[in-house]
Amino acid sequence: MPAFQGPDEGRHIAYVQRIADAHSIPWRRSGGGPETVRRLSTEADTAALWSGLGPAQGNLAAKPFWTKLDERLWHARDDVFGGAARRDGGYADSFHNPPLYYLYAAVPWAVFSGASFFARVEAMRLFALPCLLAIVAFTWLIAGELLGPALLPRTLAAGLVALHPQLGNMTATVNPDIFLAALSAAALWVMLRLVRLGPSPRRVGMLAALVSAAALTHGRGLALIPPAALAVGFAWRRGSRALIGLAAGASAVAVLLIASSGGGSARQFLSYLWQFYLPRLPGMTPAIGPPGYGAREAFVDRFFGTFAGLEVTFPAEALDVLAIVSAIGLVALVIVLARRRAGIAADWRPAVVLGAAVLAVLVVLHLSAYRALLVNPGDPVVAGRYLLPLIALGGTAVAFVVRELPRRVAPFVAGALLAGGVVAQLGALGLVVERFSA
Amino acid sequence: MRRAVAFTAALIVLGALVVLLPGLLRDRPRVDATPAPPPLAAIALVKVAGGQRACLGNVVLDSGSQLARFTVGTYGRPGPELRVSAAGRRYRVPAGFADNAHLTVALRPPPRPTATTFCISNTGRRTIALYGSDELRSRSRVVVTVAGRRIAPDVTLTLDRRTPASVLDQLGDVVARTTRWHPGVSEPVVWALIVLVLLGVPGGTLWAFSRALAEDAVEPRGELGAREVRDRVAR
Repeated sequence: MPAFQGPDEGRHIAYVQRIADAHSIPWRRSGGGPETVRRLSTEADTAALWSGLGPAQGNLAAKPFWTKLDERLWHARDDVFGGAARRDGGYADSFHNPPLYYLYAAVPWAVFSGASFFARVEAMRLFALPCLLAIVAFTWLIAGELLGPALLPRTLAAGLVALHPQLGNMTATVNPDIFLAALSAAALWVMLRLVRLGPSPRRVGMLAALVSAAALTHGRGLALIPPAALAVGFAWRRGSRALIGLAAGASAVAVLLIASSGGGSARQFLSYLWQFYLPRLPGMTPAIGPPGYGAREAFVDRFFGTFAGLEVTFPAEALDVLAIVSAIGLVALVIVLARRRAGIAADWRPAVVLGAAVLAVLVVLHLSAYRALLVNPGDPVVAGRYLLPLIALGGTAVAFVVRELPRRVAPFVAGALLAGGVVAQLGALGLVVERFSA
Repeated sequence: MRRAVAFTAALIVLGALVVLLPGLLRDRPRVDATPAPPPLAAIALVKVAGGQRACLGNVVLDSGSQLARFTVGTYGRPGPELRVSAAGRRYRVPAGFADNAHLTVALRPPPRPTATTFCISNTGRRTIALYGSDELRSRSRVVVTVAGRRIAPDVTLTLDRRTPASVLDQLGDVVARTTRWHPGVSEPVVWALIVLVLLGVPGGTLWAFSRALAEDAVEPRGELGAREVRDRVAR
C-alpha cells in the first residue's frame, strides 16, 4: 500500500517526524485545539501533493501519479529542502495519543534519516512486521494455554490470525493499532500464565510492563487494566466470586457515571449501546450517531473487509457471507461454552480474566465513541480495527469451537476456515493493488 | 488426514477460481491519471467569463492520456464552444453541450511523459463554471489560473485510456506502478513477491495444516472432549 493511504496515516507520520526530526514529543492529553490547516511538514506535504497520494486518500476517484516523470518532479522539489522543511509541521489530532508507538516508529525513521521521505515511510512499515509476528506467536501460545498441546487447534488459531486481511492491512500502514494489538496479545498470554501458575516477580513485572506500554501506546490500551488487575488478584488467590460481582457492579456504575457527565446521559448511552447491537425497540428514540452503523458494519464489514482509507472494501456478497459465518461462529461458541460449563466452572478464573478483557475493550470503545458522538454525531468512531487487541482471543475461540466438533469433521471444518482465510487474504491484497496500481 | 488437506487445497483453488479470478479478468475503465481528482463531499465552481481561459499547471500527460474529462456548468443555457490545449496541441469542444455536462476530449497523447499546462478557453460570451474542488483533502498539485490570475479551487480533470482492460491485461503496467513511491522496490522484486505470495500463502497454510494433522495423528495430545470423557466413565 502506498504512503498516506492507511487510516489517518498522515497524522501518524506527522507525529513520528515531530519526534525524530524536531526532537520533541508532541503528546497533549487534552486541549491542543483543532487541527491546523496543514498538519504535515513541508517535506511530507510536498511528498503527498507531488505523488498524488495525498488527494488519493479515501477518494476512489483519485489515483496516485504513476510515471517516472512524476517522481522526478517530486525529487526536484524535495532535493532543495533543508532540515527546516522536516520540522515545520502543524498540529494533528494524533498528538492526543501517548508516544510509545511513535517512539518505536521513530527508530527506523531516524536510522534512515538520510534516505528519501518515502524510504523512511517504508522502513517504518517494515518495523510493523515484528508486531504481526508477535501477534501470531502469542495467539499460538494462548491457544496452547487454553486448548492444550494438540497442534491442530493452535495451528488453526494462529493461522486464522495470520491470514486475517485487516491485520495485514494495518501492518502495511503507519498506525499504533498494530503495536497495541501486539502488546495486548502478549499481555493476555501473561495474564493466563499468571492465573494458571501463580505469581512470580517475572510474570507480574512483565504484565505491569505490557499494560503500561499499552496505556502509553493508545488510550484504548487502558482496557487491559481491569483484566490485568483480575489476573494479579487471582494469582494471589484473593479473588472470590462475590468480590468479582462487586467489582463488576462498581465498574458498571462507573461507566454509567462517565457516560452521564459532560452533556451525556446514562439513558442515552444505554439506548445507543442497545441499538448498536440490536434493533430499535418501539418507543426508543433513534440512537445518537450516524444511522445504519452498528455491530454488523463495525465488527464485520470494517473488521474483516475494509482497507486503506476505508474506501477499499470486499464486495457486499462477501461481507454478507462473513457476517453469516461470524453469527454462526458466535452461536456455536455460546453452545460450546454451555456444553463445557462444568469444566469452565472448575477452572473459572482464566475465563473471568478473558471475559473481562473482551468486555473492557468493548466498554472503552463504546464509552469513548459515545463521548465523541456527543460532540460530532456524524463520525461513528467505532472501527473494526479497534478489535485487533482481541484478535488472538478471536482465533482461539474459533479453534475452541472447531475442537468440539466430531473428530472426523473437525479437520474439514478447520481446513475450510483456513482456505477461507487464504482466499480473503489474497482477495484483500488484490483489491488494494487494483485500487492503487490498476 | 490426507483427505482433509486435499479438501482444503481444493477449496483454495475453488475460491481462487470463483472469487479471485473473475476480478482479475473483468474489463474495467482504465484511469490514466487524475491530475485534479473530484472532491469527496462538496463541488466548488471555477467561473470562467466569456473570452477567458482557465489553465491547470503541473499536469503530466503520457501515452495513456487519451481522453481528458471535465465537467462544465452553463447556468441552464447551451454551452459555448470551448478550446482545449495541452502539450502543444489544440482541441475543440463544439458549442451546444448541456448544462453540467461531463465533457470528454479525445487527446493525441505524447509518446513519452510530458509535463504541461492544460487550458480550457471559453470562446463564448457568457460565463461558464468548471467543476472543481476546494477541499483540503482532495487538494492536488495543479496550479489553476483564470485569465492569468491564480485561484484557489482545483479544476477537476481526469485522464483516461480509450479502451477498458482487465488487471491481467495490464499486469506489466500494474507491476511497474506498484514500484512507484516505494524506493528500493524494483519490478523484479514485485514479480518475485507476487510469486512468493501466490505460492507461499496457500502453500505455507497447507504445509502447516498437514503437519499439524500428521503430528496430532502420530501423538494425540488433545484434551479429551466431553463425549470421550463420558464414554470412558461409562466403560
